[in-house]
Amino acid sequence: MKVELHDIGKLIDWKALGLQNANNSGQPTEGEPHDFEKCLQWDPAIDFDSDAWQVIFRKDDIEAGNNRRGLQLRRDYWPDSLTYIWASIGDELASGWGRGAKEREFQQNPIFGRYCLWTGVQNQDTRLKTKEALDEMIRFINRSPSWEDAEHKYGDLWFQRAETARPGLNITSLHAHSVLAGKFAGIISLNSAKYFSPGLTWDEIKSQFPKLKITVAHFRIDFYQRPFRVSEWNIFAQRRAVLDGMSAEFIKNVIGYVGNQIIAIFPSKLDAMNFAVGICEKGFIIDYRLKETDYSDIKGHKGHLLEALKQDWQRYYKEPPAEEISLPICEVCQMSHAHYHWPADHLAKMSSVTDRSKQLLKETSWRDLDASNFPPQDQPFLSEWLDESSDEELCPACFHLRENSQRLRKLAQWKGFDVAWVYLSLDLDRLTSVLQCLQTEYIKTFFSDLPAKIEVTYPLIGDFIEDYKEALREFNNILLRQFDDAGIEQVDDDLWCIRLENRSKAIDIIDHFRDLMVSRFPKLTQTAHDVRSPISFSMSVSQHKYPFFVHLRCLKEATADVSIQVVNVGVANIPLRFLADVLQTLDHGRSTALHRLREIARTSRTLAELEMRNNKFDDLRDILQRKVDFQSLLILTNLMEDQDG
Amino acid sequence: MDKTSVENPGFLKYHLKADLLCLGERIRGSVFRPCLDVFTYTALVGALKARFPHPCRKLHAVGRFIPNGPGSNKPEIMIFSPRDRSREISVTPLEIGYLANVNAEIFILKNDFTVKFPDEFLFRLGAMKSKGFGQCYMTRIAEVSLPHPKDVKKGKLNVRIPDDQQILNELGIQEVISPIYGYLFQPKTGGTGRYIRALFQDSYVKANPILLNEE
Repeated sequence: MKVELHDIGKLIDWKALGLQNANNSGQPTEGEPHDFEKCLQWDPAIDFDSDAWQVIFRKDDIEAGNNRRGLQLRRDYWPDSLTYIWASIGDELASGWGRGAKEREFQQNPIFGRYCLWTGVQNQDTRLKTKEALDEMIRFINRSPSWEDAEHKYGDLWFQRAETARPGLNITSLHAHSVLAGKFAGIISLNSAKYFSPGLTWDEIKSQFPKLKITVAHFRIDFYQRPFRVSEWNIFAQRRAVLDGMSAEFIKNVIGYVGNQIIAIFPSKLDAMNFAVGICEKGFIIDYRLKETDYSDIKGHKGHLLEALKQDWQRYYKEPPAEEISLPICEVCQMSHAHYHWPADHLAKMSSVTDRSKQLLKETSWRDLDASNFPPQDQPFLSEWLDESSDEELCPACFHLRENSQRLRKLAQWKGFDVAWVYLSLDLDRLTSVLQCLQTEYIKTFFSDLPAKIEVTYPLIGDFIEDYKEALREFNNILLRQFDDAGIEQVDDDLWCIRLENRSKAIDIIDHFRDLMVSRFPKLTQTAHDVRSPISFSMSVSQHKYPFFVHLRCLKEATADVSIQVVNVGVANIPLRFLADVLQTLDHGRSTALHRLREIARTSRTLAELEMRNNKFDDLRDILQRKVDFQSLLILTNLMEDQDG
Repeated sequence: MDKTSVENPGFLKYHLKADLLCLGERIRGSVFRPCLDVFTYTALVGALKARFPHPCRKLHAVGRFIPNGPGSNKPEIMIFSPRDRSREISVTPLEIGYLANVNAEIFILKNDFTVKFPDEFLFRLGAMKSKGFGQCYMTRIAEVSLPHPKDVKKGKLNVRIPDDQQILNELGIQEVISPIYGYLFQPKTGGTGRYIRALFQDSYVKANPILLNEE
């Protein structure tokens, strides 16, 4: 349907072309004609055979005077099409807060560049200002381009242009709005065609709104397996593959995909549950929350699209699991009976192993086996397994997972080193709260009295998610530059295991995160004291052979913006807004004071805290009173000085 | 409901204190035994029954950890080398997760059997008892009445409970809105046992507030 192209005209500066009437002072005296209403007699001529023009000429009135010119064009050129209806509805659903009557309260000079709430950067007005550019665009649209063609051709302009130029509301990119409009149009069209017929006026279309329904769902995908050894890390890759596959298969529905979370829209709750079934059948846990809504007031419901994020999480079960499981239970997932012994059953399937060895593997308890029991030709191979593996009882799913795991060769070479597990996460609930604060602050720079309650709408979240994913890729590149490919195992898009030459290198990783946040999301580092950052950084440091899921529990259950666990020492928690100050305190200028405090704390923590009140530690006292607790500072100091505690 | 009459039905609330507690899960790969951070109905009831054996009387109990300063309920890991006495060799070192400096509240359903429990007593809970883990000091601090119907709340479970309607009724779970299932080990006589379906922590229920996470 190419609904994404409906606002392509917003990439043109119509006033600069003399196509938007203005007074002597240069103030426009009419709305921007970005629906090409001034181009009906243009050279190059509009080719109405191109279906892209349907979504552009979707309105009844495209010229001043309410002459229903758009309606006439539809009747002349697309008499049987409903595309303009889907484009109109998709546009309404995807527009930011303030479309319609509320927009009129934001009366100041338009700002066409998008203002980014989390960087504080105001994009310049990069709209195309020449007749050649307009001509080229018309010729482009005449070729009935795809949305991908338009993205490629106009690239960054889509991201720099605000969806609406109302000052204070220019915070969403035209790109996010266009993509979302296309998806909404696609979903609504699936089950709503029966309410409409070609040639309807906008008033007639609106009268059907109470019958339209859409379901917004937020999914969170996890796994039953509790990865213990590195051979179980494969579960992260498997989950990623399933998420990538499902988001591709449901590309028309998915409007957000980050980490292990997917936000999607469906024609009905049943369709949303079919998505959940698909994930569940692949052996993963799927938690969901959803909201089914209708459009009795379509303009008022834009904010309600985020109502799904306010519902309680539920776990999807196709049916309740079995009432009981006989012994033994699978050690890995603890949700099924264990049919297999690992590695014995795995080795017994190998064609390279002799029948005699296979028989021994099946009949003898693993712990009673010795390499000398086996035929000579099998001994070198099997003795390696005997040395490195212990017996585990697994269910078929976990056995299959273990069989298909890739050997992590890098980690095997890290013996004797410490490792740092690093996890970045994005909390969408906290994101909504923070964006609301930032949005309110920004609007107040124009209007000290806000016209009405401001709600965050989805396109803004969509823009943030894309920037966050860019940031993850950049963070990965930063880690690669410092630690080399040989020193990093990237387990998932947001989870790394890093070899540390010495523990103090862990501080470098925290430094990199701080730099990333300052460069990419500076406004998040300046939020009020009671607002947690939506982006969290967790790190867990230990010797390399430490059980993985001890790290995983710390990484996933962190309660601070920045959480650093040193296994068997403790956890340091730091609010993001104080991270730069804390790191500065740790630098060489103050390390003597910290070193002395650390030495005292080895004898007595209480004495160290008393010493803190000593005037020599003024700087530290300030940071400890306001920004971080003593335990956290001590842990970081020990890390910096490559000590255990 | 346990039909033995009792005045003011409700729960006996105890404070539990322990230096070391291993609410052990199944050993992983013979080398690591994780520790839970929630109580399980089966472990609590089993331990209390061992302390106060009675072949016929029912006993229901739940518990929740409570913070008591920065060092309380602190997860730790220790390594020990078990010895296989039959073969007289040391086997692969085992890493044990445990909680140190434990503070918790235990709620024992009141009936004419449990009401006679002493105000203070010791009992052993969890794994690694022979190594000094799990010695719990219990002190009765209150009696908690059953909640008024309007005080029953919706919230997330803070304990693991068998998905058995009788047990759910006894403990005051009125409705299971969104379950999170798992399995709990239920021992049988003769040293064997089975795993029974259970409601795990964070299941969304309508229940007595003592069973719910505090928001």
